[in-house]
Amino acid sequence: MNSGFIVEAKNLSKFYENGRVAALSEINLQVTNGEFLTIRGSSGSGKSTLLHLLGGLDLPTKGEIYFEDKNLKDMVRQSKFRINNIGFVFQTFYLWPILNVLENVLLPLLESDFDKKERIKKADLLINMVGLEGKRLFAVNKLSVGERQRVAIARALVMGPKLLLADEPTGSLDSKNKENVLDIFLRVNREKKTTIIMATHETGKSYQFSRSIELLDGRIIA
Amino acid sequence: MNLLYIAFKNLWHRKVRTFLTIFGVGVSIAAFVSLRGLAVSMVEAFRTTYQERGTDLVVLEKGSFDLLSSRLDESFVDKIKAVPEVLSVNPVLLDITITNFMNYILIYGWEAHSNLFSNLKITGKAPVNEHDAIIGAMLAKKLNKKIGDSVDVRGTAFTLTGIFQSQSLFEEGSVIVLLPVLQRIKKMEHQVTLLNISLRKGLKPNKWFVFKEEKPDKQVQLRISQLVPEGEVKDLEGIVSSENILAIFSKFSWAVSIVAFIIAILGIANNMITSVLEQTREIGVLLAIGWRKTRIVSLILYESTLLGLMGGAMGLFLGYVTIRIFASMLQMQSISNISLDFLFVVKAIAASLVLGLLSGIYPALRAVSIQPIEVLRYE
Repeated sequence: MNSGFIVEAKNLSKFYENGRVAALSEINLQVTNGEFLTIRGSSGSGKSTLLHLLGGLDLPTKGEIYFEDKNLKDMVRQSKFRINNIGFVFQTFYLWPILNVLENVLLPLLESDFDKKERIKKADLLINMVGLEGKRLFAVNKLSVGERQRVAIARALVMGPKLLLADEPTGSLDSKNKENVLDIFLRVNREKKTTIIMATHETGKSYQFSRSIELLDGRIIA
Repeated sequence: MNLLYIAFKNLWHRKVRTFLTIFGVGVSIAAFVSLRGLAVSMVEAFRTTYQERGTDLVVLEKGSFDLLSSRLDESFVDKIKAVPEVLSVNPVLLDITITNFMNYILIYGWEAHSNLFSNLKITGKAPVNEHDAIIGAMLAKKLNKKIGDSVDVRGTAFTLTGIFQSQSLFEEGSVIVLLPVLQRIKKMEHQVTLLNISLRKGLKPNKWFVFKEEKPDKQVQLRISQLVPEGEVKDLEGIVSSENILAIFSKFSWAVSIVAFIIAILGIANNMITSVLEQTREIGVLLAIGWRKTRIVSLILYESTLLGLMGGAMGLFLGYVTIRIFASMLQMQSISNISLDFLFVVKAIAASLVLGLLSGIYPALRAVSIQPIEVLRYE
């Protein structure tokens, strides 16, 4: 029977250094389809580790993760699972400096079966959505940090993922750019019904979304 | 945008390193092209010399190191002519001399009315008198000689009665005089370097009913061997493969080429490993967003293969220039008009392709061993 959760973590723990350091302990979390979940917590609280586990980039020491009721461990073995289902946005953007805006957004599409015309059409749609239509052929290192983060968001969304994982996406931005990025996330969540899980250490009013949890020393405290 | 485009951009991004690597590969391929090209051309020139004469068998002195050191008694000519399958026997005395201009010139001594003259396209007339000589067109051009001019062979002056063209590069760079005269000059009366034998041949159908010229019969070869106990009778392939100087040069060219290839592989691999290490973050993020490992491997192999191919193209050019310089430095007329044939160019390109692919394997494996989580953890 369908649980209605896009992602579910059961008794999730992650230890490092032979079990001496606990990054996450006994995390139970359910995220419903179309939800915008904020994971708050200070630096080192386990936010990034949780996102990496939920995105299948790392394996938990204990516990299970289910993506649409299927064990994530089995799903990540499928070659195109991540590219088709999950988008990542990182604090430091991780763009490829040798490529321009359009080319960076096209990168995930190289794994798709779309032809060249369709790829460019899809990339342009996203570039327009993040407001960089006038800079599509700019080298990414000629952009401001806010613009770079918008390129990274377009890259994360270009394959139309069901789940967007954003790790401190506004961490390097000034307040105006932060608002810009959050606006884009809200629009994507509302218009495209993309589930978003965003880790942040900020607690301001603009970070109050549909649901928020707080981590401290690898445990959910609120 | 595709992987090839990204590979190009990546190489262009590190221009200086890319150029130095291409240059390094180019020098390696040039070593292969020039040395192997030279070796192959020399063998081909040697083979053509005999093919053009219609030679089926050659008799040389048994155990001689090379052609120039071979000595045979002229009296064997009549004995071999008595063999019914033998069409003609043409004795040849070979000498090499140096001119005033530091040019090494081959001197052939042929009998007057030798069948060998019929394979040459002579402008003027073949040598008949003692001091007559004919000169190859290539050598005539090089020495700026024309009919009626004089040419000096080991202190004896000859008058050029003709200029000839031959398919053989060795002959094109030579002077031909009458055999008894060269024997006298070299103080080798009644001695020759080798005997060219042409056999009577029929056309024999093969299993596909295509008519081909018969190969020399081994029985005939054996019978001639028995007539010339101090001689060694070889067919065309035998004489080409047993020419020691050519064989030594061929082995040397292979050895140098292999070392050059290894150096080129290490050069590309070094470039690619450095690139992979520098791009650990980018590769990690590509894997994180869902690129398959095979795509990363393809990207690295594209880059290394491009380096190999561009190096190969540069190597072909450098190699060709080197051959020309070599030929003019050695003052060897016979190899100065070497051209790189299509098959050889294809081989050199294929070698640089394989070289690029091989050198990309280890860097590609290094790239896919990158764990995206390790890259992201230290954000």
